[in-house]
Amino acid sequence: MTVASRPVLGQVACTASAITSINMQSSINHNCSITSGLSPEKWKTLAAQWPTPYSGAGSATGTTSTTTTTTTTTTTRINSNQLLQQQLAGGGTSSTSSTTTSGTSSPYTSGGTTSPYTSGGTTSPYTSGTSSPYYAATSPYYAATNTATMYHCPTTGLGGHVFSQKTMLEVIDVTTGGLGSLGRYTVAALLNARSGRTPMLSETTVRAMWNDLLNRGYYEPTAGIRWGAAEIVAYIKTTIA
Amino acid sequence: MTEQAQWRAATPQALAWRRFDDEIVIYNDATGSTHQLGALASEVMLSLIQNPSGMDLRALVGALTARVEVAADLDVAIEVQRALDDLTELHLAARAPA
Amino acid sequence: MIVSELPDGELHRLLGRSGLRLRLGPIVANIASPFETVEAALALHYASHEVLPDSEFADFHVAVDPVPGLRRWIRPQAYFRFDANPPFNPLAASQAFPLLEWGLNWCISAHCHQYLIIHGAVVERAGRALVMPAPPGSGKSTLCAALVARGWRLLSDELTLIDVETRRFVPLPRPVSLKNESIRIIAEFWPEARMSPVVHDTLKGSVAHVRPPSASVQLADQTAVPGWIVLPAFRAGEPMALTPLAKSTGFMRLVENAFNYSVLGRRGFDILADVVAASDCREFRYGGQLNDAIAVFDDLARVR
Repeated sequence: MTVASRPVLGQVACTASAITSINMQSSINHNCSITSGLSPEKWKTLAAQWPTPYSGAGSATGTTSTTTTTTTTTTTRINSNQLLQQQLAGGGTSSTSSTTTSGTSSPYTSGGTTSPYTSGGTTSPYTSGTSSPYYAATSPYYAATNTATMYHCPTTGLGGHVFSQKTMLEVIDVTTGGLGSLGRYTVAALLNARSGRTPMLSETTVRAMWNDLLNRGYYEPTAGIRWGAAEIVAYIKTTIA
Repeated sequence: MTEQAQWRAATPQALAWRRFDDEIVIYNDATGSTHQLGALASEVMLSLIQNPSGMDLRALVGALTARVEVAADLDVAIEVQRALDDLTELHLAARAPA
Repeated sequence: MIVSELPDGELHRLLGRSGLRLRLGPIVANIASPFETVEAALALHYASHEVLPDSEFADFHVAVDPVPGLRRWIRPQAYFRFDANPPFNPLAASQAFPLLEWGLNWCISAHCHQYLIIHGAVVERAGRALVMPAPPGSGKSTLCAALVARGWRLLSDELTLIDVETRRFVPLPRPVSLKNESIRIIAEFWPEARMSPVVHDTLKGSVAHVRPPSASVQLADQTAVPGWIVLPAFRAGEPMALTPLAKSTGFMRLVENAFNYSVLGRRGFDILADVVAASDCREFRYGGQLNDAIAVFDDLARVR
C-alpha cells in the first residue's frame, strides 16, 4: 500500500478505529473457540488409540489395510463398545488396549453354550473365527491397531517426500528444521481434527496447510494473508489445550 | 501488564475479509457476524491474522507505524489498545493465554 | 402467449380454477383468486407477462381467497395462501391485490436462495445495474418509478436478485409499488403511467401500483452487471446532493438490506464483496425535484 495515497490515520481520530457490526447471532459458536486439541507429545503416548483410519501402533506397512489373521486367535480381545466410545471421545485412556486375553470375558461370548449371543461353541456371529465383525481381520477396529500409518500416504493426504519412510508416529519425534516442527504439529492437528477436538480446524484444512506450503511455498488462511511453516505451527499450537 | 499481553486473531480460519480503500469488511463464520473496521482497527486485525503466534501491544504499534503514516497527535498505543478491546468483544481477537 | 392475449373470459376461468401460471422473470407463480379486483389488477399490471400451461413447473402455488364464514360478508377479508397454507393474518378484502404482491415478495425472499436477495430497487442502463438498497421511507420507489419513466429499464422495485454464481442482477419485472405522497408525485411526473386504483388504509398507508413497461418485461431474460450502488435519502426541501460513499459503508448497507445474507453465510459475504468491488458507491440526498434527480443519474450513467 502506498502511504501517499492514503489518508493519515488519526486525522479523524474518532473514526480511526471505528467498528460497525452486523451481528447475525447473539452467541458465538462455542465449538469454534474451544481449544481442546492434544499436543504431539500427548498423541505419542496414546499411539495405540489413535482415531481411525490413523494408526500409531504396529509396524509400518505403508497402508492401513488389514494384514494377518492372527488377531482372531491370539491375545487381542476388545469390548468393541468401549473402543468406539474411546474413539469418539478422542482417545482417552483405555484399559482394553488390545492386550487383554480371555476366553470368556467378552460379553459376546461365554465360551460355551450359555451365552445369550451364542447357541454353540463356534457358531456365534460374535465369536466365530473370521466372521465376527469384532474379531475378524477385516474389523475396522483392528485394522488400525496393527499397521502404523505413514506420514505421506493416501490416508493422510499429505503430499511430498519430506518424511519418506517415516510413520506419523515417527514424525512426532522429528524436531529439526522448519518442516520438521511442522510435521509433528501436522500429525497432531490431523488427529485432533479426526477425533473432533478442533471443530474449526478440519482434516481438509490441515491437509491444505501442508500441501499448499509444499506446492506454493505458503498457505493462505484467508485470501491475501500468507503463512509460512512457522505461522502454521503457531496457529496449530493455538488449537492445543 | 497490558503491554506484555499477547493478542491473536480468535479464529483466523473462520474469517473472510475484503479491503475497500482504508477499511476492511470482515465476516466471521464462527459468529455469523459481519463487521466494518475503520482504518486503524483494520491494520490491527490484519496484523493479528498474519501473526498467529501472537503479538503484544508494542509489536502491534510497531507494525502499524511501519505500514501507515500516523497523525502526530494520535496516541497510537491507546488507539491500538482500544481497537484490541473492541475486536475482542466482537470475538475477532483474543488474548493469548499466559 | 401473454396475459393480454388470453381469450375473453379465460383469465377469469384460470383464476377461478387451476390458476393463472405466470412467468415472473426467473420465477413461475401459479395464482388463483376469485376477487374481481385481483383479476383486474393482473390484467392491467401483468398484461405483458407470459402465461404458461399447467404442464410447466411452478415455483409457487399461491392464492388470495375470501376469509370464509361471517367475514365473507361482514367487513370482508382476504387471506393469502402459499401451498394451501396461510402464512399471514388476513387483510381487508379491498387490499386483495396488494396482499397478492406482498405475498409473492415473501415467497421469493424466503425461498429463492439461488439468489442473494436485497430489499431495494434496481434499474438498468447500458447493461449496468443501479441498485438502491434502502428501508421504507427512503424514497427509493419514487426514484425507481421516475427513472423507469425516463427510460431506465426496470429490473425490480422491491426485490433485487443477484445470481449467486454469476454475480449478475436478474430481472424480476413486476408492478412498481407506490405509497402515500409518492402516488401523487409519480402521477404528475409520469402521466402516461398505467396506475391501479389507490387502496387506502393499508399498513403502509395508501398504496397504488404502476404497470411495468412492456419493454422491461420483454427483456426479463437479460441480466445486468454491477454498476452503481446508490443510497437514497429523501429530505423534503433540502438541496440535492450526490456524494461518494465509502465502499465499506456501501457493503454494510447491502448486508443490512439483504433478506437471505445469513442463509448464504460466507458465500453471501463473497457475493456482496464482489458486487461492491465492481460498483460505484454513492449517497443521494434529494428534496423532491425529480427531473433534476433524473438528470443526475443520467450523468452518472454517462460517466461510467
